[in-house]
Amino acid sequence: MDEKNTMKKFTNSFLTISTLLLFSACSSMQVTEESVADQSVAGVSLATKSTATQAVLANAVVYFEYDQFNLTSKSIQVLKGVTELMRNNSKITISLEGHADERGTREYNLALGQRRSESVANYLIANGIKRNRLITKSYGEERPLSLGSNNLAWSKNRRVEIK
Amino acid sequence: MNSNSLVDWLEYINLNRSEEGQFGLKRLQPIKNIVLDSPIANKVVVIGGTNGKGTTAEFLNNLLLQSDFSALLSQEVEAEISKEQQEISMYAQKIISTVENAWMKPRNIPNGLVANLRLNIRPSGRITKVDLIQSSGNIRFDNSAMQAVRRVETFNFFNSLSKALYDKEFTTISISFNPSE
Amino acid sequence: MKNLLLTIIFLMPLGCLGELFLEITKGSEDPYRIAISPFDGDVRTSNQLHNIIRNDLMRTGEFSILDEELLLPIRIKDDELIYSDWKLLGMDYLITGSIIKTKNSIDVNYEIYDIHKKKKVRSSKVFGIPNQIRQLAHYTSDGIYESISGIKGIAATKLLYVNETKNSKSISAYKLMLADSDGANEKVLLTSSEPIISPSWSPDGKKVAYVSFETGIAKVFIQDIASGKRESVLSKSTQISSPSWSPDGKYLSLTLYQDGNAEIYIMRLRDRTLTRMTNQFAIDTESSWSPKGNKIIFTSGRSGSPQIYELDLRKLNPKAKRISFEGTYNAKASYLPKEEGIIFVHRSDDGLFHIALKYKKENFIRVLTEAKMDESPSVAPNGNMVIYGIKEENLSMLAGFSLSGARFKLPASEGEVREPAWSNFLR
Repeated sequence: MDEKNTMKKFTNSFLTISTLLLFSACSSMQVTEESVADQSVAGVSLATKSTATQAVLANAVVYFEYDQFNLTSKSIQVLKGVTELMRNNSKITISLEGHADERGTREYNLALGQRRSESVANYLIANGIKRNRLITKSYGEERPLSLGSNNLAWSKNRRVEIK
Repeated sequence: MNSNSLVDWLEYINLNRSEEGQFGLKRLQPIKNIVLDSPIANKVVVIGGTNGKGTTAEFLNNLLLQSDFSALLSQEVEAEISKEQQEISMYAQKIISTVENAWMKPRNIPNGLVANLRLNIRPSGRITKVDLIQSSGNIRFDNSAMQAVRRVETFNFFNSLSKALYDKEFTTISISFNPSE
Repeated sequence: MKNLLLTIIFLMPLGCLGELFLEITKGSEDPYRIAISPFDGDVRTSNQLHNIIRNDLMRTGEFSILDEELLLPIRIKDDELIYSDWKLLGMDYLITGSIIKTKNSIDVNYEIYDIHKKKKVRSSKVFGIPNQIRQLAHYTSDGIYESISGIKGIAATKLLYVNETKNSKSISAYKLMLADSDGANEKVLLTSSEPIISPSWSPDGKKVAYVSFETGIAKVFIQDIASGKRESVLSKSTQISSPSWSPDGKYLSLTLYQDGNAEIYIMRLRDRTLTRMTNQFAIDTESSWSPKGNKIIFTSGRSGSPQIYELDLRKLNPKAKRISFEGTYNAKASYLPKEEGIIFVHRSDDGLFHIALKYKKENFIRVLTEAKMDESPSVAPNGNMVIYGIKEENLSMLAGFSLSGARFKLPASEGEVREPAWSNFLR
C-alpha cells in the first residue's frame, strides 16, 4: 500500500524521547556585554648574518629523482670523486646539505632533504670515510637553486650540496 | 436495539452519543467487558487505539492467512479506513514537498546524517513550535533542518484539511531529515 | 484450513492527538538571508564597521546579505518592529545597531531580529577604545554568526604566517607575521635573513613556536608574543622541526633528526624532557594533536610514500595506525575540532596537490580545493573554515574556504606569504 511508504508510525521508544526538549524554539532574548581584549605584540629582529658555508667543492652536487632519496649512477660517479678527495685530505670535514623541490609539504620536504643527505653520507661511510667527518643537514625546499615551477627548475633543486 | 449486525450497532452508538469524545482508551473498558462476557469473546479481536489500527488489522489479517486461517475484514470498515489513509497520505505528501523546497542542505557534511524535528501546528497550518528531538550530531545539519521549517512558517493547504483529520493526525507531526545521496 | 470468522472492531477515540512521521530526502542549497541596517552614529565609523562585518559574514559562506540600496527604513509600531516589511523582502534576520563614540571609548550596540519568529533575539554591546574598531567589528560579526547559526564565530581570531620578500639583489628577508583573521592589522613577530617555517600557536594564544634557520640548521624556538622573549627549545646541536602544541599547552610534539632520520618526539615543556614516539627507518614528521590531547596524527613514509598515521598516547606502547589509504601522498594532517574527521594535503593521480577532508566514519576522501600546489592547511577553531597556501602566477599567497562553500584569498601586502596557522578562540 502506497500510504504505508509515506508514513512511519511510532513505537513506544519514540514517545519517551518526545518529552525531552533539546532545542526550544521559544528561547528568550540573548543579552550580552563584552569588552574587546587587548593584545600587545613585540617584534624581534635578528641581526643579519650569513650562514652560507664555504664554496661548494668543485662539481660536488648530486641530484635526485622526484620523491626519491636513493643515489643514481650519475650521483655515484660524483661521489667517487668526493671519496677520493676525502681520502687524500684526511683532516677535512664536509657538510652534506640536502634539498627538495617545492612540491609537497614543507616539513616532509625538510625530512626528505635530510634523507638525501644521509644517503650521500652512507655511501661515503661505506667507502671508508669516518662518520665524524660528515655533517648532514637539510634545508628542505627553503633554498631553491632555481626559481620556477616547472620540471627543469624542480630537477635542479632536488640535490645534496657537498661543501 | 436488538440487532446482531455490527453495522447496526455502530449506527446506534453514533446516534445516541450525547457527550463529546473523550481522550484515552478508558472508554473502551465497558465495551471490552461486554464483549468479554459474550459467547463470541474468544473469537473477537478488538483493535483500539490512536494510530496503527489499519496497519495492525492488515498485519493480523496476513498473519492469519499465512497460518491457514481464512479471515474476512469487514468490507465497509476497510473502505472507510482506506479513504482516510489516502487523505492523510495526501496531506503528508504536501507537507513533505513544502519542507523539501525550503530545505538548504549544507555542503560537505558526512553521509548518513539524520535529524528529527517535532512541529506543533495550528488548524490554520501555522507552525507554532519546532523542537529538535534528535540531533544529527552535526550542528550545520541540525540548523539547516530547523531553518527549513522556520522558513515554511505556515502550511497554507491546511485550509482544506478537515478539522476531524487535523485533530486526529496533524496537530503535532515529526519530520525526519534523512538525505539520500 | 481452519475457518475462523474474525470480526474486527475499530474504535477511534475522538479528539486524540496523533503524530505523523515524515522523511525528507532532498533539498536545495542557499544561505541565511540577512539585512544589516547601517548603524546609527558617526558615519565614517559606521561604514567601516559595516564593511568589516559584511566581509566577516560573507567569508563564512552561510549568509546572503541584502544590498544596501534595497534596505528599507526601520519602521516601528507600538514599540515593535514591523516584521512584514522584511518578510516581504525574503529576509530571515535583520540587524540594527548604534555606535557611541567618545574621545577614549567606542561602544557598539547591536540587535538581531528574527523575521520569522517576529521577535528580537539578541541585544548586545561590545566596547573598547578607538583604535580597536576592527576588533569591535569582528566581535559584532561573531555575535551575529553565533546567534543565527549556533556556531562560535572566528572573526575575532588571529593568524600567523610567514612572509618572504626579495630585495633588488634577490636576497630574501623573512618575517613571521601575526594578523587578524581577515589579514588586516599585520604585526611582525620576527625578522630574519634565514628561513622561518612551521609557525604554531600555543592554545592560549600567548606564545608561538616556529622553526628558524638562523643558526644554520633547523631549530625550534618558542616566542612570547607580548614581550618578544624567545628561546630555542633544545640546546643540543641536533636539527629539530615541526612543532605542535598539545591542547593543554604543556607539551610540544617535535621532529628530531638525531637518530639518522626524522622521528617524532614529545617534549614536556616544564622540564624539557623528551619522549620518543616513533622508531622506524622511514620519515616520521608533521605531528598534530587531537582536540582532547589523547592522540597525535602525523605523516610517515613507512609504507613507501607519505601517508597519515595516528597514535593513541594513552596506550602503554602505542602502535601507529594508518588512516589514509587513497592516493600516494597524504601529509600535514590536522583534526577537525570535534574529531569527526581530518584535513590534510592530498596528491591526486594527476600529480597535483590539494586540500582534502576525510570524515572518520567514511572510507573516502573529499577533495576541497582545485589549484595546483595547495599546501599547509590550518583549520579554524570552529571547524568550519580552512586557510591554506596557494601559488598563483608564481607568487605564494593564502587562500581559504568554508565547508559550506565560500572561498576567499589573502594575497601578501608585499612579497609572498605562506604557512598559515589559525589561532584558537581568543574571546
